[in-house]
Amino acid sequence: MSAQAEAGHREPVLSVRNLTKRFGGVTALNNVSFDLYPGEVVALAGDNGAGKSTLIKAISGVHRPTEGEIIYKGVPRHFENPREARDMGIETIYQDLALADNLDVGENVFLGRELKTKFLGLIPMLDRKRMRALAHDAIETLDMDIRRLDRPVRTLSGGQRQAVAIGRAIYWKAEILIMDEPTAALGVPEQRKVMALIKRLKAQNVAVLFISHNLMDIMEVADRIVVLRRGEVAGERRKADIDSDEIVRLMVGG
Amino acid sequence: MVVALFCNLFEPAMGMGLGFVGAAVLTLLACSVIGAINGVLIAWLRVPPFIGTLGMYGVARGVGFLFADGTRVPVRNDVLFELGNGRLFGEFPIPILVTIVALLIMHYVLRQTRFGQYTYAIGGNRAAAVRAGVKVKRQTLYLYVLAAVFAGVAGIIYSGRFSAGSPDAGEPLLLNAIAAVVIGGASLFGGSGNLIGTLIGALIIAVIEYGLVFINLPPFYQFIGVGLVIIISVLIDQSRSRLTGERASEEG
Repeated sequence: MSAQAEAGHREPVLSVRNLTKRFGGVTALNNVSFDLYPGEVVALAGDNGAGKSTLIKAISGVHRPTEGEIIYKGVPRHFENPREARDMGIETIYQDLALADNLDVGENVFLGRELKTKFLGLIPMLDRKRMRALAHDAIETLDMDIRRLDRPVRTLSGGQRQAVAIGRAIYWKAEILIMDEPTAALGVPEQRKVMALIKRLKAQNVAVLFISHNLMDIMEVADRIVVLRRGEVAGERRKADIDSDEIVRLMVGG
Repeated sequence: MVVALFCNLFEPAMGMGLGFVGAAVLTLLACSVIGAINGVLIAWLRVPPFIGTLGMYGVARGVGFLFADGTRVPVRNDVLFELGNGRLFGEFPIPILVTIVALLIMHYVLRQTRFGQYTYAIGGNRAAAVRAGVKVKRQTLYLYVLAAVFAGVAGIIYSGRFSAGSPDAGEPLLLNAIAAVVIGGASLFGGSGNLIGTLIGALIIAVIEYGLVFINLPPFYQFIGVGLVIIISVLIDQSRSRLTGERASEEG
């Protein structure tokens, strides 16, 4: 199941072609190209201000590219907003996870797309029971155990919250999951769990693109590493062909 | 929820010449306008909610005084009087019935509809609501209009009860309204609370006020009492969230 081996003869799920993004006179991304294959984990590395966030925002529909194109499943796409990208299967999990802390697990997984039922066949009501059950199933495929699905998610640990966010992506059949620093705010044991979650996603043939500063994380789960420097691709390597030192070298230049 | 009960200020001038239904519709419309201005100020122009509603409270109050020439306007209307003082089947006070109906409707809306769900989501994490596709600004606008309309209903009943519209009617209730929702478990920063709690909060306030009257304290102690209750309930709320590990993820 090595993605590297398969990458050669499979269609990429996402191709970024010559992407340039300028904000006024500032060029945040310059002529960036890379591919992402199903079931592949790509790490996006780079120093602060290298353009990592701008790149994922361009892919997820937050920013519109100034030039270049984003080809998703063989078709060039121009996402007007994040909702469009999400509806087509590109899910993005930002650092703050975008969970509503006061809602429970089911409510979060279904936020914006709630399930409804009819009380006595008459009065429309939210179907919290079914939302919880389906959320539970999605999170279970991640080998993550969350016992109290009826509690607000603020009572969960960081890793469990990450699992809720990923569970939402899985339930809604994301084909690409973009993660911004998925382990940044977590303690070490929770970081291990998130790494395991990413491997699970890969096994489910989801393509994962993640930003990380943590070279250990990158070396552990990434199949490929794309290094950005000052808005340009400084290098793109398979994990087998690179070590931490070289990543750093690419990041800082020289 | 913190929108002030200022809309009853608008009631005075409207009782005249329009009949009950016309006056009521006009009152509620006027209230919606105020609510809509609140909503636009807060959602689009990013005025902090407390400041925005407080400012509009001042404006509405002033307009009320202008309409009423700075005084009380007697209103004679049988329907209005019944609404404020009547009893259904000679038994159940109509203002209470109206309150119960309003509570039931809004409890349903908050608990069982997307509208309610989005309201909580915005309070819990605005960014999350935006990313989930909730139209946050529009929702905020609707909420302020809704709150203002209910305040208007309260205003109509109020003037029915006293057969007069007064520009400063309900002013002492401002603090009580805030106290009721805070005691009822609503967060002043959004995202928590429900109507059952608010109802209990309102009853507690009423008990405190009447209790103080019964033990023959001057009425000014009521303000002191309610003010202290607000502070104490917020303090309890904060220590409770500390104890239950509000942010488990931080030590995660």
